[in-house]
Amino acid sequence: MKPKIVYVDDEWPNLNAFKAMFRHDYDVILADSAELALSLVQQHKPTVLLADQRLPNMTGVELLELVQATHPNTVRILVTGYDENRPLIDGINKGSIFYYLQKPWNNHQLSALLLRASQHSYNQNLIQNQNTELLKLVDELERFVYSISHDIRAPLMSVLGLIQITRLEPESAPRYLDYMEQSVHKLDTFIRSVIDHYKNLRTENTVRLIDLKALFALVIETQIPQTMRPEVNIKMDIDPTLNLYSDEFRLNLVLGNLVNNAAKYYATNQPYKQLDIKVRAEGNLVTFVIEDNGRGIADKHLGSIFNIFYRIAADNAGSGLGLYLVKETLNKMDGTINVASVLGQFTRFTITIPNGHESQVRG
Amino acid sequence: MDTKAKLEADCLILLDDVPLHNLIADKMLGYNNLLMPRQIFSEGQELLDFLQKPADELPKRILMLVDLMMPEMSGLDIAEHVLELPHEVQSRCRMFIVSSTIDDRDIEAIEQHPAVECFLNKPLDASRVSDILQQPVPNGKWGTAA
Repeated sequence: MKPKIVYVDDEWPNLNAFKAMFRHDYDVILADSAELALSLVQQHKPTVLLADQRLPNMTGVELLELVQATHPNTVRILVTGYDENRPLIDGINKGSIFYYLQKPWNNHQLSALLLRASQHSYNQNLIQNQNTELLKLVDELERFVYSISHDIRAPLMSVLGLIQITRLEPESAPRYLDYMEQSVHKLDTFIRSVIDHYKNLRTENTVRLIDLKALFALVIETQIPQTMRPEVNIKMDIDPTLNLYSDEFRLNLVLGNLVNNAAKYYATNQPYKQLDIKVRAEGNLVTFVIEDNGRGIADKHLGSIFNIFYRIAADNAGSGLGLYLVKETLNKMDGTINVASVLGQFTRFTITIPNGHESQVRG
Repeated sequence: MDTKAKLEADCLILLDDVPLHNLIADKMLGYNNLLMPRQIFSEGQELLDFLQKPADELPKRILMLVDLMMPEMSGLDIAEHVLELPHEVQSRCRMFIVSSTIDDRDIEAIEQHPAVECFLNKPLDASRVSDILQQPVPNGKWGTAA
């Protein structure tokens, strides 16, 4: 796409000459009044605005100032036939002008100038996007540093407390050692989640053909504690015709977290533990449904469960990172997630991801 | 401060969402001879429900050791609720917040809260609780003059 330039001048010969000269390299939009130029800037958000100083009703400097306020990313150039310093000084002082060009212009010089202006605009946009990204990272870092005092320090302080009471009560050491082990595992889970999160943020999707049966077998083996596995009735229903091309690391992360939650938040009042897994393909989309008959999630929490460090359970089983990580990972995969749940009955997560293609598989 | 008053609590409440933390605090207090009757809770609402009891069923001198970071209701949220309790109930309660936090903003917010008497770090150092209880009771608490 060619960069857009709005040129405003009340003399049509200038406008026409300009268009003839630059229409190949730029999308040139002409205006013969400041009012028209303002509405064209509004409509086209041009890369560059060139304004003649002498316009009816408004000076070029005044126009550029208005545009600076509403479209700061548009590079502003003042053109004047007057060999006087006033508008130049005004323009520079008010900071609204990228370059001051005197008429009659030299085509060569103007061409180089427009190229620089386009580059300048591109750089501005780049900086702005990077700033937005940076702000998000700083915000996340702030929250992470804050969470260190709880999610990292709390299990450590538990271990410290347990060491102190073990000294006072050495006969109960085996029991306290078990608690210490749980605290260390909790801390390790938190650290692994943080590492997974940054790996998800920093790496591109690596698409390959996924062996779903093998992936689910791995997820079940790693996420459901060995002692619980015989008690869980797992029903797996995977579309046998499906060839899924996706990122295995991310898919494992998403499914792993959901299956882990199902195992962690089982209901103590149910006669058995049920886990239903269903995978279906529809056109280019693949839908996974993971449903358990666990303790469920109250309505008031459903809108917040994907927020970072949001925890529901008062038994501190979770770190508040799991579902946030699931959501962020799905964002990277262009996927979506929905949840339906009834407290004390079931929780059903439905995720949809686009199916990749064999051609995306590298090496 | 009322310099004469050195009162024992007649009820000690431990509130932490992590059962292990309540266990550690309970043991530590026991080893420091702080053996008054306990109420152990894992959610803020349980504590608030307890404080809603009729006046004649509610202990007269309640010491509450409350965790800061909990889902649903944090220690500071609970402190806000305590401020809304009838004056008579507030005067029976002394509230300490116990946390692993080392964040200055947290500690400042805790120390400045009118319903909170002090901040204690985890793991709970029960001898500090003992020391504080040896100090005169703050005015207006546990039956002392406001």
